[in-house]
Amino acid sequence: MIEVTEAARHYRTSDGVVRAVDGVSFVVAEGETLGLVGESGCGKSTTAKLLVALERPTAGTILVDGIDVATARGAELRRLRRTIQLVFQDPYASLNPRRRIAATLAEVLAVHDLARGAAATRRVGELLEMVGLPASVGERYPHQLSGGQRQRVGIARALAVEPRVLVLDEPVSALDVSVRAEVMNLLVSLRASLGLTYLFISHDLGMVRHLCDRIAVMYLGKVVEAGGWRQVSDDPLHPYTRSLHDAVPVADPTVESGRSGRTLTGEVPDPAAPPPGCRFHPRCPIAEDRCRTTEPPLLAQPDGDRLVACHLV
Amino acid sequence: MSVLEIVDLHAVVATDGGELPVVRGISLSIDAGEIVGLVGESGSGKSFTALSVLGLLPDGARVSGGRILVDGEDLLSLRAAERRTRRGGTVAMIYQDPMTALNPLMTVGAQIAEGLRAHGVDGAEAKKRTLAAIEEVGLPRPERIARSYPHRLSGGQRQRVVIASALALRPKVLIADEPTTALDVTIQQQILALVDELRVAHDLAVLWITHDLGVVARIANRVAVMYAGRIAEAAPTRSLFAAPQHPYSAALLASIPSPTDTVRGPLPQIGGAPPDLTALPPGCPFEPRCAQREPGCAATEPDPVHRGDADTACFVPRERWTTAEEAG
Repeated sequence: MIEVTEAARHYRTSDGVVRAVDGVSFVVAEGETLGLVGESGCGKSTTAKLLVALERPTAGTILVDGIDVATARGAELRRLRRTIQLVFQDPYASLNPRRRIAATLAEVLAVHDLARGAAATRRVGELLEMVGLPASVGERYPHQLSGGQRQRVGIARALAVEPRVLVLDEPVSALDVSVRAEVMNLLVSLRASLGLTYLFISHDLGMVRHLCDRIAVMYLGKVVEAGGWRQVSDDPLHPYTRSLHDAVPVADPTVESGRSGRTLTGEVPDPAAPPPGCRFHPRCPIAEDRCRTTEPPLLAQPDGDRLVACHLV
Repeated sequence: MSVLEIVDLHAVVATDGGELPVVRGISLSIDAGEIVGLVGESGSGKSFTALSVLGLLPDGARVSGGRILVDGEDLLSLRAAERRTRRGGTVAMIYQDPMTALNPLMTVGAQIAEGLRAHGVDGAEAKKRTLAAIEEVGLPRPERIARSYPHRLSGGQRQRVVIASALALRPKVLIADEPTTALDVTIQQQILALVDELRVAHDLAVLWITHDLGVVARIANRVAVMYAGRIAEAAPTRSLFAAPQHPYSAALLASIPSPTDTVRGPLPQIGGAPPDLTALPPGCPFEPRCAQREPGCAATEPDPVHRGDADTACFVPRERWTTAEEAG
């Protein structure tokens, strides 16, 4: 469903060329959920924008259901927009504050020539029901909704065009703990009932582990490790994935008190001046000489469906 | 011995429809060298509690009852000028967004020194203590950092500067309002480790406000869980996670995916929403959503009772909980 090959997105700025995404490859099969994990500046949100053609790649190819995202124009671009939709962390970003929810959803239907008038009203009701909201929510404005309700509307808006793929960019990060569970459960049930393919972008390893079939970890514009959800989250191989695994606090004091107390030092370097060799080497606890000079390729591991970019694994 | 003692604190916010009770009788104490995690969802009153301690409630909000004692002195009985001296002097705060506390037009060294001078530390001594404070929070080359403007620093460095500034006056109490929420996890890890070091080094009493139960599990000695302006449960961290005594704490813990699940079923949901503070029910505020409710729960609001290691505002002891819902 998604095929990304050596995709790059570089930006020219006064500080030089920022390599936000710098040669990323992955595939997502139909019905599969891929989790994209990483910290700020790793390129995960830029990757999301590339997939939905909000940004165009400066190199490489991105195919979504066979559509070449880099070159899609006109009818092809409209087909792309009906195939893949983006759900934002902050649903305010996709909702007009001065419009009632029903009008916002009806507008999406009209723009894509899917339904008007009574048919649109009926469809808006269906969409709200699909995301577990009462029809009365249609008459409200975004600010009158709770955070969880707003995110459900954000999902309904994305589903209005009957897409086959959702790119979910931190969809539960801004929500209260108890509301997160509700939205996660909704995503699981929609995936099953509509046969959706997800790209789930998050910094929350726990949620990624809960939802995804496979996980890819990004650092400074590159994928450093990718594999099955239990491989990557429970038995990480790349030193960066291991550091992330240790850094994420887990709601279990027994696990927390058993930690080594080792913390990853330093911060993510400037993507306009990535370090030579392995991009993680300045922070890596086990870096050697070759890590400082030679960039490690993303290589298949003997334990099956896993890729790791590290000289020392 | 408790450094901070909050006794039956009440706070209200003025609205068009009258005064909204946002904090409804909170009692909490923190010892020197102890970190207490104050957990709650939006609207639970956790931030109002913190701002009450600092005397920084927004316009329209006020403390309407109770006492806030620091080393036995009631902050609420002080005059405004004395209160200002205590703020920063004995009680300091760090925020979610460090830019809240930083002036973008001043170098960070000048800002820390200004805070010291406002509390009577003079020129050369203020400069010396500024550099020492910057060094103590683990920032390399303190002189260079001191000459930097906030926008030249990363988010993690800014939060370290705010911590340096907060601790330069050697406060006894540190209020931390989600100071790591906006940071990347590896930077969050560094800041959590730093605060823990400083707690030990200075015997600080820390009130750590967060919605992240993972952060609480890592850093807090005790936890207080807030719901609808009250503390639903307060307990030592290990006890609360191992055997929560309030159904709300249990439900919150159950809603988080376990890092060891091999089969991934639906996450247990609480259902419903927190009560409208303008129309609180007469009984337990959690009763309408509670899986363990009994007929009496809707009639009167429970006061905290000691059960196990915990103080819990619940009528129904764990032994009576229905097993299916005893998650957490």
